[in-house]
Amino acid sequence: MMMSTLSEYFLEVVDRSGLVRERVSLDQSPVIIGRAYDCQVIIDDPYVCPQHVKVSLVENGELLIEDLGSVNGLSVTKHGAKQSQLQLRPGGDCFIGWTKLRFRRRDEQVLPARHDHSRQLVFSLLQQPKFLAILIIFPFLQLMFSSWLEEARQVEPYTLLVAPATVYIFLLIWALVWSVVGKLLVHRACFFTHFALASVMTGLILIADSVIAYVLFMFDMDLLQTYVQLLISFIITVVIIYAHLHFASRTKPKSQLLIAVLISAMFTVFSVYIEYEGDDEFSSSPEYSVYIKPPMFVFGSTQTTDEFLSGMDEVEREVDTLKKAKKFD
Amino acid sequence: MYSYLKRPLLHYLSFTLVALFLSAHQVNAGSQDTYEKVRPSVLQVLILDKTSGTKSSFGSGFFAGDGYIVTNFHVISDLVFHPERHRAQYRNADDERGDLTLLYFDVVNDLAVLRSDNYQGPGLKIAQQPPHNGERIYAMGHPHDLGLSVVEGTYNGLLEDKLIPRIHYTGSLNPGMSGGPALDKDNNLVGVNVSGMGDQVSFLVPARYVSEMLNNVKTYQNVDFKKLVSQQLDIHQKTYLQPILNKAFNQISLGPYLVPGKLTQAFECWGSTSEPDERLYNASSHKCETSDYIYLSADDYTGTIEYKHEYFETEKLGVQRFYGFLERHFPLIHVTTDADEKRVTSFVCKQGLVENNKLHMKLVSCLRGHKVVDGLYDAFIILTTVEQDDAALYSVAMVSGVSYENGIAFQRLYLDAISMQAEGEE
Repeated sequence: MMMSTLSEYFLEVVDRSGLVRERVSLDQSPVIIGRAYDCQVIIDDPYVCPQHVKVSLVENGELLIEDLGSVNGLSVTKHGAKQSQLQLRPGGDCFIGWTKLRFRRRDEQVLPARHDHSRQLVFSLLQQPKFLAILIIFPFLQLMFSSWLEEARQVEPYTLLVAPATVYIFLLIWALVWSVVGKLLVHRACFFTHFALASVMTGLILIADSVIAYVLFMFDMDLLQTYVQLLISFIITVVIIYAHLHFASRTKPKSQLLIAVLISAMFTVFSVYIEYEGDDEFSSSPEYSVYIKPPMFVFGSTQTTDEFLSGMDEVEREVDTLKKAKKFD
Repeated sequence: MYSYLKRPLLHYLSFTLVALFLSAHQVNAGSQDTYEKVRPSVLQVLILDKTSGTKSSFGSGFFAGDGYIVTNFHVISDLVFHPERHRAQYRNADDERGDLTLLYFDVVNDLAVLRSDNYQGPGLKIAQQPPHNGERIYAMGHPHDLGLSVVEGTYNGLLEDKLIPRIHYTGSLNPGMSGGPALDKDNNLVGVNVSGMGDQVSFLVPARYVSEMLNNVKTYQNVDFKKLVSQQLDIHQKTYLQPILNKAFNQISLGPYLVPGKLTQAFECWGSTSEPDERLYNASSHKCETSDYIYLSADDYTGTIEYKHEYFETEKLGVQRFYGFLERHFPLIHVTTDADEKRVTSFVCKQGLVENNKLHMKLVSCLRGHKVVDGLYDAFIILTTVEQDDAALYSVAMVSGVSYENGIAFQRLYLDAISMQAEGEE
């Protein structure tokens, strides 16, 4: 039987946030680990002593970690009891200061390489500053254009900035939340990517709402407007949240899609609740679609006044049903 | 200096003061006489909450012969719509109280007749001839529950053109005086206090409607009061709408369009055109409405017609901005009667693109029903023409307290009266 040597191992230095900071080959036995520059493995952790532990190989192939009289000691778990020495199998770990030391054998099997989605065109574009700038600026201009469309008075140009700026404050917060999540989970904030994604979501929903309203008006299907807009908004939100998750987590694409669907469904349910909350309640004002004119298709299907008013019999029956439903006493 | 002016000025002042004194003396004598003689005939009418026994509202009333006590319908409307929760009491000049029973009412003219089983005062006689315009008349009642008062004022004639005729009385009618009598110099009944607009502009129900109501009391005994309200409102809407619906609506021009103008003398109309300002469009509007209404309860009025047209044109807004503006303007409607869900249903609307008199328009027509008054509806219509990219007509009309047939007939005639003027007609 061949004797193991320490050079068959390497050491993973894991920082307080769980990220492997470095991997060090263990060439000679014993290995001194500490903060001092003459150590074989130098740890940049203020809670680690200059010479903190010594690592050597024992006969059964396990690693022996010995405390060299350190201030904060050696432990199995982060806040566990101090140990003067520990014996670890390959793959085992221990704590010194705020740093985790994990020992692995060189011949240990690693997971197959994951497909790099970030190399896909869309995701790689979402990391290019110029493209991000366009994605952020375009919806802002779109919102300014909407403000301009809604203004029937002579206004100072700066007043057109108010509505987009307000929306963008919310988008900043949204992007900030995703950045914090990303920083915590994958140690990268990608703030501008998240900000661009939030901007794109706003722009797409704006465009979709207008297109849907015009198309449904054209085919005299106004009543479906709310439902179709909710559905399209849901789909847009799923896509954007999926993209957010791509940059803010390391979960598998299928899991990211599932989470995106769940989060979007939550937003959609919330929107429906806001839209229809109190819908059964009495309203003393007439309620109707305010959409008037899709410019190009106005003469699609018109009825005569007689045809229109003859249809009021149905309205009368509906009103009579309402009267019977809640009779005043 | 100016001493030559002193003597004639003093003479003038003396004359004026004497004239004022004499006039005041005569006024006092008139009011005092009316107060003393009519005092036993005038009562305070109290509507009490049955559970607590405390008053929920109050007005005035008077004896009109045969023990009948006349007041306003709006004073006793709770007895009609909530008889299980309310009862009526009188309080006479000697502060004696007793129960009152509702016998009959005229909801359109805002009158009601009650009776007391154990108390009867002298009945007021109805004046055979109305006073001359400008003649002194005396309104009596219990303003703000402060005790019996006489308000001297001026008879200014009958407003015949109204859907519901009223006497214009110059004098202050305050809350609590509703249902009290207004008397001429011989203490004969001229009218019944009904409403005031402030600044001494007040209105009386003409005494002839009191006679008509009293003639009907014996005919309508033990009637279902809610059904009676429905019957009276149905007859009223048929009567007043008949002359309106029997012919095409008058038209006026607004921009290049013809629109319904003043339908009868009962309508008051106003028009305006926007001043040039920072707006990128010009607007002209025309509005008509009937100013009288029928009181059903504190927040439920009916029997009104109102409509408004607005013509917008622009050179500076493109088609998108112009129609965007119209879409934001479209829901800005005003519904006069804001009755709650206990009294009316929500509006049910139908909408679509309609071709009317060769004009394409977005049209919305809505109905809501009265839950208290069977067979009556409020009919609402709103439209915007979509013919032009830089000009549009916006029009909205509301008719309250009408039958379904009359509501739709009104809307049909209203739409018939909206058209584009012929070339060169503008």
